[in-house]
Amino acid sequence: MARDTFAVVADEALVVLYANGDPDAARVLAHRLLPRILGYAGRLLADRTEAEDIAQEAMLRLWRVAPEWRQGEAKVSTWIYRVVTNLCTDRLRARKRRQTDALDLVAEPEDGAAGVVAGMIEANRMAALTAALASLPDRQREAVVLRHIEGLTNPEIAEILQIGVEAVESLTARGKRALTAALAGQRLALGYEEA
Amino acid sequence: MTTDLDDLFAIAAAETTVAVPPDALLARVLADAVREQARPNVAHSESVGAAAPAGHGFWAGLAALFGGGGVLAGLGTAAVAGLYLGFAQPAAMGQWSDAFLGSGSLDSVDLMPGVDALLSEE
Repeated sequence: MARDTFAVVADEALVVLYANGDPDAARVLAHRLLPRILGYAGRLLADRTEAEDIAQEAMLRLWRVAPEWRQGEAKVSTWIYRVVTNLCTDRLRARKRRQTDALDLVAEPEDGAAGVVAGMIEANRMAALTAALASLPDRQREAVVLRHIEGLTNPEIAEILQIGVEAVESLTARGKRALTAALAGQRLALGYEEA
Repeated sequence: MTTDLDDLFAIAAAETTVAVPPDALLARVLADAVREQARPNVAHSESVGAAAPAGHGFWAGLAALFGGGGVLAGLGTAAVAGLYLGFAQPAAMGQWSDAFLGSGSLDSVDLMPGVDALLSEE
């Protein structure tokens, strides 16, 4: 299939094309999916190198499952978000077992960010958000990132996390409240005006 | 603070949208894709997969032998029904068989009448 016609081809069809030996389907899928899953894994892990490992592993699983992919049963994006979520969960558990949890890893940039406010507001804001996200329980963090940063719908998140839609709403609401509390003391440092 | 939080989410979402994966990562991913594409199609069971792999076990093989799971299910049902009728011998079945075979007692049925002649010639 000609490369320029791939723009309108759905992810699911690309997976089937890949399984059938199309040489360009993998490249298109990688360009579509990698930025999203890399960003998502980065938000969950707060570690760029680990996020790249997870993204590569998730894509490898997609290549391997491609010959058995059944169109109409699942969206590729939902499937791969679920794979990334599970891989990140495993990685975080292993990290906690090593007594180096995510909060410790990102705490330093947070402290540093407060001291270098001028000229780096956006970077500081992202560092603060990353630190605050890392302080959330895993499921809350996953739900909040998928809803508010990845822009997925609640039913899509429910499918990824394999929970009910009401549970997703509860997780995102609690997560936002916790983030608000975590960031409340940093409004001025992050360049926001006092309420 | 909700507005501030929404602002932070918007910045993070924008970063994700314009993010370009590193060339080295893309190269590794595409190398994996080429390697996996070259492999013969084998079943991979993914514990985290959404696309459930097709069955490859004993029952799947048996179903394929008989022309599909539906046919196998039909054969199984007929076998179970036959066993039930043989053991239970419902009265209605007796009436039905009498209608075909007659109500008199049936001592024996010679299913291969030509065999006696063959045996007697030896």
